[in-house]
Amino acid sequence: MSEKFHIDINKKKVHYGDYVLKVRDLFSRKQESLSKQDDKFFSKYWQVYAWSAIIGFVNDKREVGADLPNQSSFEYQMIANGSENIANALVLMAIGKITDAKTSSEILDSRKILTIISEYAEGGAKHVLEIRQTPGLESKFNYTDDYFFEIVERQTSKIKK
Amino acid sequence: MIINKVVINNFYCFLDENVLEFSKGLNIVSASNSGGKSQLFNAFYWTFFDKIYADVDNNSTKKEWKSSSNLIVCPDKIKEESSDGDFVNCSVEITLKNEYHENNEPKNELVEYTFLKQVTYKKIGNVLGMFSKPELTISFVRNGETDYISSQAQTWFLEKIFPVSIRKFMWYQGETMDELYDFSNPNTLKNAINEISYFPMYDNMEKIVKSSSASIDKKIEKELGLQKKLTVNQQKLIDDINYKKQVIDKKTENSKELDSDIIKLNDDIAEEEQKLLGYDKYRDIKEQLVQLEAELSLTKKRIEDSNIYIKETLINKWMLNGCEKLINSSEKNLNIINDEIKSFQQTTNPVPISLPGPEYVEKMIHDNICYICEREVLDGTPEYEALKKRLDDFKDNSNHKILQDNYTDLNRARRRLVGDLPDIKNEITEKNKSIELLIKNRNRLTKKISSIFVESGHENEVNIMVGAQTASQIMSKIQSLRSAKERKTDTLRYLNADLKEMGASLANDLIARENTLKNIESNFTESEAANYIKMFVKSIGSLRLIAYTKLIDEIQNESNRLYSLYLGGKTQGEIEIDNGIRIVDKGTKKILSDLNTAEIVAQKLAVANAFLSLSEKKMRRSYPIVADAPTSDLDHVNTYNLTLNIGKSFDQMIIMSKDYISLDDIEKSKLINDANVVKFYELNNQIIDEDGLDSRTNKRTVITTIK
Repeated sequence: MSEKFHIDINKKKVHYGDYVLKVRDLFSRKQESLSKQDDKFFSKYWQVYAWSAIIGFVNDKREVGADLPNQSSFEYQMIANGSENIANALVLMAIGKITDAKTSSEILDSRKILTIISEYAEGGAKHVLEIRQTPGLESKFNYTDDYFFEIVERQTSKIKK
Repeated sequence: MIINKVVINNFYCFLDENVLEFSKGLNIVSASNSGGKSQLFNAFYWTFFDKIYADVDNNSTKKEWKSSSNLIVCPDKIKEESSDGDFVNCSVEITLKNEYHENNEPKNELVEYTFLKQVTYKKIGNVLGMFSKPELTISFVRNGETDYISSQAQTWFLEKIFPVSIRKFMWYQGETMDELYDFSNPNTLKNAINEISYFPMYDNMEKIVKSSSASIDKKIEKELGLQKKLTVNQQKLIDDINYKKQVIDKKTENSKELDSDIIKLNDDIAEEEQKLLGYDKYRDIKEQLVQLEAELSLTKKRIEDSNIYIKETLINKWMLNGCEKLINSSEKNLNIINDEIKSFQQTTNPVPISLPGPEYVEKMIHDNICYICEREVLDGTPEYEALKKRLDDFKDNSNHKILQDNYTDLNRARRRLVGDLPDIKNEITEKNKSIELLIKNRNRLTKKISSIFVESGHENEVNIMVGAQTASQIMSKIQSLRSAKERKTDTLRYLNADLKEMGASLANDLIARENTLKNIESNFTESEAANYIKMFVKSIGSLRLIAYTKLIDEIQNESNRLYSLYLGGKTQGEIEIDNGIRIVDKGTKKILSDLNTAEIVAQKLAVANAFLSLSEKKMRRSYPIVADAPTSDLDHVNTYNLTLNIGKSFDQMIIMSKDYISLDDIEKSKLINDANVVKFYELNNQIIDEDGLDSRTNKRTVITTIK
């Protein structure tokens, strides 16, 4: 290991799957300022990716071995720049999901960790899309309040369908 | 001057053509409220002076004298019923008899003048707009030929026949009496005196003899100089005196100018303050609104900021709510890393610091030379292996260091996150609470702003803003007038101090001159003449004083006569004129304050009328008096007394009043007989179409001739 882990992972592109792509187009505008009065909740791609991943982790939805064809969108650095908390939390949650590691190099493998995060992001995105297919919840996450409710209600239970 | 006829055509409540004829003597126009008398007065004022006494604006019932150039004087009915493209003519024609204006002294040559004021409007869409501005034509017939006063000469002509200083006595508008008859200002008195008498001639005579005296003194001094009878010091003294006199003259002139400027400024300030009365409420409303709106926009900004903060925090942190366990589950794997670090530290000796560093060792391997002992190190030799091992140690050490850093970073992040996350719920609740408070405040402010609009009766913000703007314009005008006044007052104070000092020094010089020239032979023609001129100066000065005292006495007596007449002999005091006009107790001669309104009205009317009647006596120049609501503050008995007696003091008087409307036919004819009324008209505001709306568009003034 010749570089620090966070430097190494920040340099890498984030790969993500098609569910994340769908969710991204649903809830995020292109990269623009937050303060604009927009009709979509997220204004940056990394935000919707991180949110999907957190939904995946919280609800334990992982698409193991999912295809991650979207590979040129943004580097992990974007997440670290946007919110160090989120970037660290995603890495730590991914580390927590590595079950069979014996050595540090099996743990601190940045691509492996990114893949784990993306698998959860894919799972989370799929979960969200499924919720929106439930009758009565078609517009879930179209409004700011929905994000609040999801966050506040998390500790007691997982996202209700 | 006698006003003969007024023809009003489409002017406010006067629809179509309306004719009123007046004669010498007392003319009465009686009307109830809204009967049209004030508009009749306005018809006169509009024609002669281009002003109308009207509402300050649409939202105020307060009135003021307004320039009529932008006012629509057309009756409401025509305003409403005219069609697109129609032209509407409105006009007032006044015929009066006056001395021919080119005679400097009245020579009993009476000429009939016709004043025609006309304006044309055009209807475009629903709006009646000005088509051609109001225009005045003044014509007269002399020697069988009609002639016109050119428009450039109109102002001069109007000033000549209605001199500004006594105009206010001729045109009497009850509501604006205080403004017009401001006798507290000594100049009102002085200007009026100059206008109604030959008194200015004394002033002129005094000026002439004084300047003769000055010029003869100069000649004497010059003569003495020529005869070389003066010593150097005496000559210097005389030069000094002349110089000082010049300076004093100049400064006195300046001081007079400043005095009159200050008086003018005071008048202007009072006028602006009067204007402000109608507008100050807008200022208060605007101040409240500005404050509330600033608070509202701050609150809105805070809500917006909070919303942005909430969204940002949600995305950057709150999103991790409930992830503590998941994050903590990394501990197991982080411990594996930590164990690895520890075992490395136990099994590996740390690299001694004093030995060459990794770059140096790498270079020795590359160059196959030991740079410490300067010997060759060949591949595969134990020395070479030793160097390679040394390099590996460095690499291990460096990896170990990175691993240690990674562990520290990750573990620190884990601990910080796990520590922070449980507070998210509280943060969200608190933020929501504060946003709710802000929203409550916003709603309260919005409600308060709309209640201000409702309470003020202005739904439209523009009205308030325009009103407030006008108010602040007036305020700033007052401010600048006040500071101009302060500046001038200061200058005047310094100037007067200078004058005093210089006067004293001049007086000393004059005494010195008297003493030093006493013994000089000055028995020549000029000095003889000087003695006579000195006598003139003295006697004209006393004549002037006598004339002034007599004139004031006359005005005072005439005023008191009228004052007592108007109040039927029941006056509380008597009028005293002495550098201002006041009512004093008949016995103690002390100033009476807190007089009732009738007393004050009667006093002002009496003084004003005394001026006019004396003008007639002294200058053989008579003015009519046209009065709107002069008796509005008087009771029934005083109104009757006033009417009975007022007509006798003038050639012509036209009174417009509501105070005769309650008289029955018998009382009316008694009044007409007793007061010798020459014309008596009644104005009534009547509905045009009986089946039509009860609206001003369906009303007009109808004139009934009683006598």
